Amino acid sequence: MAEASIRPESFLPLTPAVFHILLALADGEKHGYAIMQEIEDVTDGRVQMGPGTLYGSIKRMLAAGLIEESDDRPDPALDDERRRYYRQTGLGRRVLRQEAERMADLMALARRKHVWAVIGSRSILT
Amino acid sequence: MSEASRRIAQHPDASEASRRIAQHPDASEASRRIAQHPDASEASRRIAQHPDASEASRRIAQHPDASEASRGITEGAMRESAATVDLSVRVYTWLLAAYPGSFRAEYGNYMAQVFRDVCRRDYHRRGLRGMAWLWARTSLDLLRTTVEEHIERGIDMSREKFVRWSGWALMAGAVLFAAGLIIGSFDSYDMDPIGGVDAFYEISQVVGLALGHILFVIGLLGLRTGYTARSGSLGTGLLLLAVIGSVVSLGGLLLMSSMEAGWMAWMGGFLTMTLTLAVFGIVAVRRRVFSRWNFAPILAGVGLPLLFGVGIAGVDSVSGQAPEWASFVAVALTSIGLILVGYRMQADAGATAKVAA
Repeated sequence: MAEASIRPESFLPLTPAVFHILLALADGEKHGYAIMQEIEDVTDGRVQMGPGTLYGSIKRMLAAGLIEESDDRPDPALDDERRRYYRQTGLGRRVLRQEAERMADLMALARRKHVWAVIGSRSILT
Repeated sequence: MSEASRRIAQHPDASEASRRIAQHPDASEASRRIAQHPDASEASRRIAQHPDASEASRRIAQHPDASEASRGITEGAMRESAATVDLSVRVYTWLLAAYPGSFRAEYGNYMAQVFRDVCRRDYHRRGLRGMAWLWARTSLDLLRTTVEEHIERGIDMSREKFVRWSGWALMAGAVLFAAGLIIGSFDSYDMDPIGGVDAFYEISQVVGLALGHILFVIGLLGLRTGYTARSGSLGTGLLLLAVIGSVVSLGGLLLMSSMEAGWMAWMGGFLTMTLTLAVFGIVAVRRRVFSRWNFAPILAGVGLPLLFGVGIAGVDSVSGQAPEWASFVAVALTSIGLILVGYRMQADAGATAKVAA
């Protein structure tokens, strides 16, 4: 299947788990625990993913071609070589960008309707 | 930070490893020797000047394990933590049996490994309270995702089976269709009484065509079910039109003996089915819908429209119809094309069901 011919919009909207995993992999390949850790860190612990949700999502994302397993096995001296590392595919990057744009559009709409406003760095639900 | 450093930092044992190094009896001696080495000050200067150095220090300081690591853990607490973590991991590994076998075989070890990492982290951070909270979250996660995986496995299996069997149906339909038409071509079309040799040809033709058309409908439904996700909106629309064409064609065939319009419906439906398959073949070639033989739908679709073209052009000037060899070529092309499509469907059914999901 040609990855370039798949329309990213067909994957939208993403589930929160898929969105967070793609976002965690945006700055490089990671293994399962590192993905989980990153999601907890960036959301201040508000999103805590269990191993079932994490690997269930990874399974579906691999099948859909959003992520792929990294072929590079780390040096056993540096890390546990039994871990699997994952990274975004080109399609995964495009889907993530589209989802972020979709969310930004929704935010803009909410702002226009005076449901949501930004004061400095804080957001306020009105 | 370099890739190696990033991976070390990501490792859940990183803070524990640092602590052990610091506690090792040779550590102070090693530090003294490093400090005395003539290159040491130069190396320190370079590290300090590196653009990532301050960022790395900041991150280490902000890391939730940093203060924990500096506070230190007693040997007794470590043993207790190891026992608690091991017991939790053992129970969790045992609970993984609730997932479908294929999912467990693929991801079970990695899930247990991640759970072990989280156990260590939460125990070090919050002790038994942390473990209790982790188990509460993990139990809910386990319950929800086991049900999800079983449901998905069930849907995948039925979709996979349907695509596989409809592939076989398309192949069988193509063979029956070709056999029906070829055997029927021996019919002399005399009004001989029932029981004559022509009756055999006629019955074979009707049975072959009727069964062939029923199997075409099933096969094309399977084609649409399995390949919608790969075919794009145009391909999906074409496959729907092909299914509708096959249904109209079947209806026309069944009504042919009682209604004059039946013949028109049969030909119109069949022409729609084959033409849309031919155009779908172009989409398949462009998008690589099948793993191999993407030209097959074109082969299946061009035969009969070409035959009609030849007939309309009046190649045979005496009858105004296409010559017999052209009919044979058209039927052969259609059947071979459909057999190839059907073969690919049943061969790729496993992968197709996953993508369609």
